[in-house]
Amino acid sequence: MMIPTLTTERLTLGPFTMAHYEAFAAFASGERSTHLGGPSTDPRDAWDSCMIHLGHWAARGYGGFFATETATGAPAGRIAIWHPITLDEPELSWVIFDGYEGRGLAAEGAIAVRDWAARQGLPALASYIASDNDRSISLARKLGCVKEGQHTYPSGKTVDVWRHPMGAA
Amino acid sequence: MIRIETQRLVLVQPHLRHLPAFTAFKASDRAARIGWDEPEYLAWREFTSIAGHWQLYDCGPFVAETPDGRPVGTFGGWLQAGAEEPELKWTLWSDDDEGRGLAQEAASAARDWHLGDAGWTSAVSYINPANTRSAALARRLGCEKDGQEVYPSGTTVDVWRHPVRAA
Repeated sequence: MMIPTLTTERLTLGPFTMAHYEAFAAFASGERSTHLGGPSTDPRDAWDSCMIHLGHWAARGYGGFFATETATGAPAGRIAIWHPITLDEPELSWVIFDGYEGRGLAAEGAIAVRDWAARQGLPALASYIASDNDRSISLARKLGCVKEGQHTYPSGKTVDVWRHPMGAA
Repeated sequence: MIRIETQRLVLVQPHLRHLPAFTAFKASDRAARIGWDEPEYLAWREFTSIAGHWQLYDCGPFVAETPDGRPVGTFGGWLQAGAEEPELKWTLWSDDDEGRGLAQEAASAARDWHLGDAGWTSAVSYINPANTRSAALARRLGCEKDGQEVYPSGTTVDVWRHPVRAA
């Protein structure tokens, strides 16, 4: 499976690298990972997550893009199309690694991945966001998403469904 | 595509066609379920992680099938950034496949391939002491217990070291 590489003004979005694992493990051990099921200091958890987002490509033909700050070569985050067998539709998710927040990088990456998804013929994507995740909600609004209901996981946890506009094909 | 034939089994790279049987395994008492995740989700996560491992390393867990295409389990290697040693893992999905040496046949073939074609020079298996069937398989495979390891979760596992044949 050839994983495509996308470029934006400041980011290169492409396949998993070991540098992204290190950065993701650091993120996963911190409080900001709460909404992704963290924090976890077990490197096995972070590793599994990286392998899952990589292997997602083989299963679906789309999956996780690992973001690198082009100017420095440093891992900056992960913008993923996430479509497990238990979800009826693909979700757009984002993680910005420590030190890269607050600069609009998540929006920049999310738009690029959303546009790529539209070019592949995927439907308008959804992002599932906990109602107390203020930072993600403000990003969803900035991306033009509209709240259109809720989704309840088997755990009982309920999240808001934010519908993206169709990406520019 | 890599394909290994043994006397009674064929080892192939995991494919989505294996997912329903793997999900049934995850839903059964044979799989130690952790937390609230439904078996469909656990199976999906583990299957995609195996696919990712193959993509990154060109080695990993095989699915062993009977000649008519029925999957019986996963057998093969697991590498992880920062891990001290290459690991060999296995799962056998159904009670019906116990007791006939199928797991040994598949694990042995997968081990030979990793220590041969994939170029590994050593391998260990981490086995929960309560998992007596898995420990018995390790013994039949010629492994020797080589200490313990404590996962960050607090779980202590025995380290079983695989024999490495002289080149």
